[in-house]
Amino acid sequence: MSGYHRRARTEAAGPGSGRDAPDGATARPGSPGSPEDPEGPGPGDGPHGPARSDPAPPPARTRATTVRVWTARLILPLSVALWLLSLRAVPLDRMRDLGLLQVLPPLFWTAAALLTLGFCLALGDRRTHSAWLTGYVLALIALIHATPTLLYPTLRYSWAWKHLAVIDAMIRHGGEVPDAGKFSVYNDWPGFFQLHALFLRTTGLDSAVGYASWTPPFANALLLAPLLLLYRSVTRDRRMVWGAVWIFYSCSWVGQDYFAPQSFAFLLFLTVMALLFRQLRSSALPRPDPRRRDGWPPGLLVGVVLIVAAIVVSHPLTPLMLISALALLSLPRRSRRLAVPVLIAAVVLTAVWDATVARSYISVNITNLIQSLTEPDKNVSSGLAALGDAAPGQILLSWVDRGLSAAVAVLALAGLLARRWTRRTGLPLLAAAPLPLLAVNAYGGEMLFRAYLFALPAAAFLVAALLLPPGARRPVPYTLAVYPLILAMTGALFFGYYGKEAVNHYTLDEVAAARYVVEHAPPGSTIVTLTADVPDLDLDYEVHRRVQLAYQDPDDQRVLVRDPLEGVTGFVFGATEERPAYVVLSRAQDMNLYVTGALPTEVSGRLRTALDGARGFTLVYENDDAAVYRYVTPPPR
Amino acid sequence: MTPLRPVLAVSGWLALLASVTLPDAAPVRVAAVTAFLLVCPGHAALLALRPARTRRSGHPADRLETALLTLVLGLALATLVAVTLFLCGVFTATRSLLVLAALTSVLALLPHRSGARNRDSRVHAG
Repeated sequence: MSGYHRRARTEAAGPGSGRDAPDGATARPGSPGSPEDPEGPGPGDGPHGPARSDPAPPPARTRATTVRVWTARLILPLSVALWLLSLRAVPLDRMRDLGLLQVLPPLFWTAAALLTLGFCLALGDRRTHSAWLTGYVLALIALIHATPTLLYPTLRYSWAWKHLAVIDAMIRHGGEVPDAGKFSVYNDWPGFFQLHALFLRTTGLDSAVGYASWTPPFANALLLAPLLLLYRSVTRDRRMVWGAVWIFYSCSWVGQDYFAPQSFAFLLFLTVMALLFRQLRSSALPRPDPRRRDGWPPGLLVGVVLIVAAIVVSHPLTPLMLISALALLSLPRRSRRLAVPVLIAAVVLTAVWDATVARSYISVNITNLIQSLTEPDKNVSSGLAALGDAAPGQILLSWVDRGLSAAVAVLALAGLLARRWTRRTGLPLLAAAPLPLLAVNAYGGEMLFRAYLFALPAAAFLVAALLLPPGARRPVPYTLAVYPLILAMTGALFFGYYGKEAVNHYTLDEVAAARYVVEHAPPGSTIVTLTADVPDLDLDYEVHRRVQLAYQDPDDQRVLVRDPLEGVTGFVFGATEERPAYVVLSRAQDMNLYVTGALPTEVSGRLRTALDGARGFTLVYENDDAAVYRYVTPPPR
Repeated sequence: MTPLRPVLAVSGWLALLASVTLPDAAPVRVAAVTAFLLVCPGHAALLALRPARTRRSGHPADRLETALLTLVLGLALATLVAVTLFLCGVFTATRSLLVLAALTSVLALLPHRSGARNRDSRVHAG
């Protein structure tokens, strides 16, 4: 018996079987060859043609169907037009503790609601071509992720600016940056930065700031390909596949899609997973090499190992997530022969890298890792924000974020319980893969969010399996019935994604103030800020000492709150003409204090008043959004 | 041999030529290098690593996988070349493009197994 026939028989007992199977042999939404699947045959077809009789011709369109089809087609361009119109005059300077949520006009929200409605209409119609569904998803990505890029005058988010500084430093030093301090972690996982260094040097571009702003929409759009391959490997039901895609983007509120190694590594991670699921014998897609009974085609395995190597050199956490996922996928026999070779490669490459290039970081942090192994409860709780002094809006945002994450977890679990066939797909294992890491490492308090992100692709599918089951007799009313829930998910995402934009958004004046400091501060200078929220101030980080007052010891913070001048002077005393200190106060830092409550809000104003008359401090730069003081310790009187 | 392979084989050298002869940030230079980095090493690797029979089913998923692998393999190769050159302390723009161009040429011109495609094409008919 050929491998192909053997596979078809296996599928009859696999995910395609059972009463609630997603792609059974009977005609149902999403069945290959049925009108719902205009994209060709599936694995149930024999090598010489479809395994069953030709599908019946699609029923004639009724008037209502025609209206619905054209409505779905009109809503897409209409909602995109409304979205772009809504961005004409957004008062960014009025952002406070709800960020963009409180300044975007009703037209924006109308566009978002309309887009979701149009998608549900399109999703419910089995004749909708994939191009329309792709258009809807890309429009959603643009609406969510391109809005800040289109509105802001410059790159958003302080960490994105830090990464630009790392690329610049690596280019200047030809690789490892000496005296990098807290930035030394980037020396140990330099892949992403050196890729961009290669691009900048070969094109002759001065900086990545021009295209870094567009990373969120493009990074999310690129994820569409592995997501579709992953989901289509599990089911041929288009409604479920595209529903899962929409749910993924509607629930991906964590914001790890900016100009950063993790967004790059996440794309590579999902690609490896999509390739692996595609090669499974139970894959709903035609396998690239169906004569192969099990395991990887050797060439493709080499390609996958190359991708894994790129992950290993680019980001510390993603290889661990990959290893965890592959280890779990090695448990069931059906995926073992695919997962084990990649698992071995990932473990060996990670171990070699961590023992050589990343050894300095690993050896310093191994104690913390061992300590965290004994305190798993602390790792889990460290991701939950301390809300003591946060602004009221932030408390609301935090609850909405938690609510959305919990809803995804509960719905995914319900999907797993209610749709039994999903248990045989491997996706539950993929969703559970981050859990072991959640128990062993706090990752700077972010592990909970990172675990959510890595679990989301699989969890979104389980949610879609629950909400959009393939056997629904009247798919249009059924799909419209879940519209409020999908709309609520998208709405909740805006809270998490846009709620902190008052801090993440910068004006050109703030950039100008930072540039002034970087250009004038001699090597060895100390640069003091209240928080980290000053764009481009980390340029030349290896020659400057940085002090962020809000993140010092509690005793130092108390001194600062009691007497701001004394609190600052304690960190800069001894500054000389050759090695002066600079104090940078700016709008986004004030907003951070207000939003997060890291320090009492009035500290900034009191500090500025104190510095204006203080000995040794000179106001050297000022604009509407920032002020820079230079300090040299005066001689004793 | 399809025309694609010779085109891929020379693409890196054209990008290198653009990089060393055109001024910094010239639009043609940026376009040539960007197109090369995003498409050519990855597609050449795909041609070399994945047998022809697995690329020709005509299924949309195959086209999607080819596009994804082209991009991701290209980015992975560029990353690994950059990291290797930086770790060895010998990184320059010219060297990095030189290595990638040579790699792309070798991968694109590797002899591929003809015949396998014909034997297997029936599997993906339709």
